Amino acid sequence: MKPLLALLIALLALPVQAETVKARHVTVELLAEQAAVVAGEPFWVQLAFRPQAGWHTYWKNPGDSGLAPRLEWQLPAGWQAEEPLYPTPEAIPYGSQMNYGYSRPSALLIRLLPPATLTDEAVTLGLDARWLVCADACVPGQGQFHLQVPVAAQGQPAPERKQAFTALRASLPVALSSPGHYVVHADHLLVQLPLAGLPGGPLQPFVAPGQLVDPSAEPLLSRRGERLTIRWPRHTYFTEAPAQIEVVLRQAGKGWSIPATLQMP
Amino acid sequence: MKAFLHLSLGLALLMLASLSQAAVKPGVPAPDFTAMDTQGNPVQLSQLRGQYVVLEWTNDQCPFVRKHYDSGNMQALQKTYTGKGYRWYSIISSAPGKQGHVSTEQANALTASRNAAPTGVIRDEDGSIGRAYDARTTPHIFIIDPAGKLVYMGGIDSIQSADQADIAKATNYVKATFDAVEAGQPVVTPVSQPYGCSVKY
Repeated sequence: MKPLLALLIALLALPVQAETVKARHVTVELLAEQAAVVAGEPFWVQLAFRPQAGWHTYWKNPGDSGLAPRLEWQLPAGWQAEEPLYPTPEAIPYGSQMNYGYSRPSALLIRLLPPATLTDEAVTLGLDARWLVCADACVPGQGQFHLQVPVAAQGQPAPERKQAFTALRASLPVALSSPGHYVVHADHLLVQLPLAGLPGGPLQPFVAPGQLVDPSAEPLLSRRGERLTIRWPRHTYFTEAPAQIEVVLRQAGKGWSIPATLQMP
Repeated sequence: MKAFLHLSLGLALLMLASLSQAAVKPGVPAPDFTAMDTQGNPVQLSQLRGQYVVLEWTNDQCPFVRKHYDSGNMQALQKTYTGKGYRWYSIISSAPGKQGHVSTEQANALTASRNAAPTGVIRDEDGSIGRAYDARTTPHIFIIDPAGKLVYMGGIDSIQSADQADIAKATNYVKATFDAVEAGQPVVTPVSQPYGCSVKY
């Protein structure tokens, strides 16, 4: 948004609850779920990406190449932004390489947390977002977003954006709370997950963060009793094992997310 | 019978483990290759023992490569280290028709127009050198010691982005590796995630 226009809007305290940036090969939009902020109550927003047909954006672990979106919030004092929640990714092959991301519209869901008291009548929430959109070639993009939201004593829904948030929540993997565990071996990771909550049939796994499993290598999945085991060749650039990883399992466009904690062999 | 099965399994796993030893990683000999650079000079890696060698995978159309060339960062590194007598080869593994693929003339024109200073530029059209190293992104850096062993492989620096503004804030792994080896110190980061566009095999 042009700085002068942003200033004018701020001065007039006009509410701005959605802002769109038309970038090369992708349109990016920041939307607020509610029409007002309530002190001490979560304020949900989404950063939506609509890539041009044939182009794609990336998951938190982009795979062999690519880049996940980077969000830098400019929030008033006392506000916090949580890490974004990502929709269930797709596997996007390129030659012998594999990337993880979205070749259709997708959005990140972010929970912002206002402080317990708010004295102003309105707040300005800024976001500097950077992303990468690729087809064969890659084009980095950047957008500056501002939301101007009035403060109210009670929540105010925004019916015109309800569908966008319902659709986004449906695209997120279902979070299964029972953790599994994982062990690092010389050339592979062995992940064991509880089967509870998972459907029968073939499952396609994704692991975050990156640099753990090799995206170009085929993981081996097997079920026995109550457990799902995934044996996945280690990433060539593996350096350290985090205390906890995320495993997303995909089937027919739906996803399930299970944390796995590190165990010594 | 069970003991025999366990023994066979053990042997099989041992074989698998030793196969993976042949993979590219720090401390192992770098895969040898023979190529012609774009000036017509033959380059055989095993003949370059006795001096450090930097291999830099590149694609001039890739925004991550442009980050480091438009800023002059890559050229400065090339000048510094070839100035010390090290060898630096920029390798283009783009297949014909794919992004980054250039003719010999175009490659030389790019070197001149970008003021680049590698020892040589190698066109690896069939991707055989890239695949031997499992080069995945552009840029992707490999540093080989005078004995022919890999001492560094991965990204050019520590901040994965396409922004020039991040160069000054990042740890440059080419510099960090050479600072360490020149001082006789261990390389703190011998492996880092390479970032950039995928190599267009």
